[in-house]
Amino acid sequence: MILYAVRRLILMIPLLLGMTVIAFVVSRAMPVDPVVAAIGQQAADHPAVVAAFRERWGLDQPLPVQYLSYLANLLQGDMGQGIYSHRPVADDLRDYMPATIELATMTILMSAAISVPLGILAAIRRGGIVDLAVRLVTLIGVAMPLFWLALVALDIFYLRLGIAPAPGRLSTGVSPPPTITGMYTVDSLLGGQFGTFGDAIAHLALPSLIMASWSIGLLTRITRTSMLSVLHQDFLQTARAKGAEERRVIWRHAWPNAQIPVVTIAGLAYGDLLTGAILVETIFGWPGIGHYAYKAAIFADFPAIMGVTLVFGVIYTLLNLAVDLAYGLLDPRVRTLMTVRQT
Amino acid sequence: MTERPDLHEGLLRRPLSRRNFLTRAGAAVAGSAAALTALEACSPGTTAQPSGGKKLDTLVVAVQEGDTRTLDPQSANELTVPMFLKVLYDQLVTFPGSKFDQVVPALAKDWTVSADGLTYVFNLNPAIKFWNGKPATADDLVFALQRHKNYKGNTSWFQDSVASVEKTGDMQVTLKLSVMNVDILNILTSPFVSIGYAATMKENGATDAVGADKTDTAQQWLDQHSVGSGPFVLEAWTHGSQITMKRNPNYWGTPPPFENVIFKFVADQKVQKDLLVRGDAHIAVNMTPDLAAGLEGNSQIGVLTIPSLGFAWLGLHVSNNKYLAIPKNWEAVKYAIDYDGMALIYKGGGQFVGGVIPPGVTNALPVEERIKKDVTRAKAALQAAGNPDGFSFVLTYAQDNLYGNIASTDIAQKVAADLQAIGIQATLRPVPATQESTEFRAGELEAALHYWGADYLGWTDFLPVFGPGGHVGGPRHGWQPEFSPESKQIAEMAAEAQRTLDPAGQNELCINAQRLMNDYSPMAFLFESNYQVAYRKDVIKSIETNPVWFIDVGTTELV
Repeated sequence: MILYAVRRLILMIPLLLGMTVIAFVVSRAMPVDPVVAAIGQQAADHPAVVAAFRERWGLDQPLPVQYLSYLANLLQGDMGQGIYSHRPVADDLRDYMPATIELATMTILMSAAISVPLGILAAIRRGGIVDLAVRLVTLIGVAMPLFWLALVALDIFYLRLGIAPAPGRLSTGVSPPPTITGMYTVDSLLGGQFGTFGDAIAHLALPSLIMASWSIGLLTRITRTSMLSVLHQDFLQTARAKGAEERRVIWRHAWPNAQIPVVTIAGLAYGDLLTGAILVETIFGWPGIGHYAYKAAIFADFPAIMGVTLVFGVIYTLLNLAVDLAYGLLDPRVRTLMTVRQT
Repeated sequence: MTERPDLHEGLLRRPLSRRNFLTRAGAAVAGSAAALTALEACSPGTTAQPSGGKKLDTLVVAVQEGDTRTLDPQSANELTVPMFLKVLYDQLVTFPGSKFDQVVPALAKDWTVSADGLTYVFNLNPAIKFWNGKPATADDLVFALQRHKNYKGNTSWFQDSVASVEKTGDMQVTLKLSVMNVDILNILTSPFVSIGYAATMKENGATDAVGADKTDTAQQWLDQHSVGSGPFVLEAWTHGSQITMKRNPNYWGTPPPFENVIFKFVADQKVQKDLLVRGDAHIAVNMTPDLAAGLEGNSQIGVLTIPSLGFAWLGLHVSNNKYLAIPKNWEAVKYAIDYDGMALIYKGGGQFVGGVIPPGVTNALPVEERIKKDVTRAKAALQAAGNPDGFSFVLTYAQDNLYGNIASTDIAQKVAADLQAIGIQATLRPVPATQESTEFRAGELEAALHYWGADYLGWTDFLPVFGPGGHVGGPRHGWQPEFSPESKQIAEMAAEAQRTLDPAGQNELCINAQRLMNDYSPMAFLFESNYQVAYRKDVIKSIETNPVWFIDVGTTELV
């Protein structure tokens, strides 16, 4: 399995290289001049200002030279400087990505903790009122626009009831903990700032819940479907015949055989969450990667667009690998197959 | 055949009844709410402090981050940044309070202007000190102005007319112009021409030498450190989240009544309003007309309306559509638009304009002389143009844009509907804002809805720019002085006004030019947008406002 993982990681390199080419070509093909996006109307009519701007951002070079320069810098760990932010893209990603990782991780954990039991329950109680209720609630979660849910939730829980904190990652006046990972929950725990930890968790709760409404709906339904496909299998009958309790039959025998599709979908869902939900981030004042990617796009910030594309590529590639490795951990048959293929 | 046990039986000893399900669900929700409340109670955060005699420690301003890119004053050029720069730095001159029709001393205590209007001698105020206690001297002023020009940032063109800046005394600077600029003092009020402590800037990579655009490396440092003489000092800029400032202990003026100010970035305007209502913010900067209207009747919240000096206009390119090359068709378009009806869309978020110079700016055409809908005149113009049944053109606009706080789509649809009523077919073409700007600036569009935000508070940022051959009138509309005798006349009046120091003579030229433009230009000025700022009346007594820097928290008074 280790060799398998290493081989997959090596294959990631040409994949990311291809992504840089595509991202470069597509972003340059946009009918947008970054000069226009970055400087005012009157400044744009001053040749000296425009020339200085183009030279500062390398836009005066031929396109192949721009790409090769970018690649050469990238190989040295330099992702360039954002035209919009005027900061190294790597610094921007380091600032914005942890906020999204924190939110996405909380969301997926919340989703898994809720949707797996719910999905199993719905499968077991198939056709009953529980199953109906679960399917209805999850359908609503999947169908409702997240931005609408976010606005309604904020209106109810923050504005009217006052039980949710104000939007943002921390309360006003609370200083962020010393940066280690950039995730306030983790960093505050590591720094022993438990008050800050509580504040960070409190601010995470509502946006996570809103984003989880979609992933809970998705995961619950796939869990239910997957369980239903397993529950009538003969091996469960064998387990019961051997005297196993029904709980053991479900959790020890049925669920392990049903979890592979759930893991697949959970991986995809986590990838979606990690690539940012711009509307939820906007409403909850969450400075995440979706917010950054949106600004990069509308301001034609080429280095940032390239940086975000690379990060998203790495995320999905690593997640796919993690899911594939998880198959091996969860299913001995897959593990054997991985080993056989290597030999 | 072996029977299979029913899977529904045997798992749970007791079936889950409807009552049990509802009880458990309700308990789960209540438990979650209690957990949230408990977590919130554990939070060491602060919320807005009420009045009633209590001292306010931190003023919280909810504002959109918008296009804030840098806090380096010589490098910045964005809509929101002046609000931050205004309280970190001082400028050579400024506007008093919420007025902007007269420049008053700031870093300069007084100045003289030569008879030909080409030489300005500024004497600096010896009372001005930077945050570190060092006095502001001529060296700092010269450095700031030269860096502003040589860095070739977005506003370096402000100094197009400046030939030289020289230190002519420890506390005296002489500014020489290559050509008369009647608005140079207005330009010097801009937070983009702020003065910082030169020595510290140089230590951190700043340079004012020619070639600074290639050699200056101070911008990133200045994004996290301020070197000004304003009432506040920059503490930190957390990108995407907030900017925090502390009171300047060495401030030369009246210190603000609070120790800290936090500009909290809140992109959604409804959420800004919610923060204000809950008391988690004291000021919400970006209210839409609907939100502002909804706050009427709230005894704890006040709303200020600030003219932005930015306006939306419909621009017609004279060369890209044969019908739009005919001046009579311009007249038809302008008089077909229902400006009064449009006011129902923007409500308090906008106001009428008389001409190209917005109300409040020196030499603005009175609003009473504005163009009003006149269908009879519009149809007569179509007749005179030789197309009595109307004509068609493509109207491009930025689909995701706001004119102030007014959605561009609403205005575009209104314009199209008004024109349709007299037979002019404006085919709407919504595109992303950056694409629209690119095409508009290249002069590729038949017609465009666009928005102009003031670069500085002076009439020269409007009339000469939009006139024939100006930055906007020329390349964006294809409108040059040689287009017609009237075009030439407008261009000449605008140029003459820029050479006229006498206020009365200047005014007469500007007024006449605007009247002629109203009758004879390929532009319909739709409305000037207003900013609407909401604030807690139980905390804040007064806020000074300005179209460029919105609000001045440095002079904000508390109840």
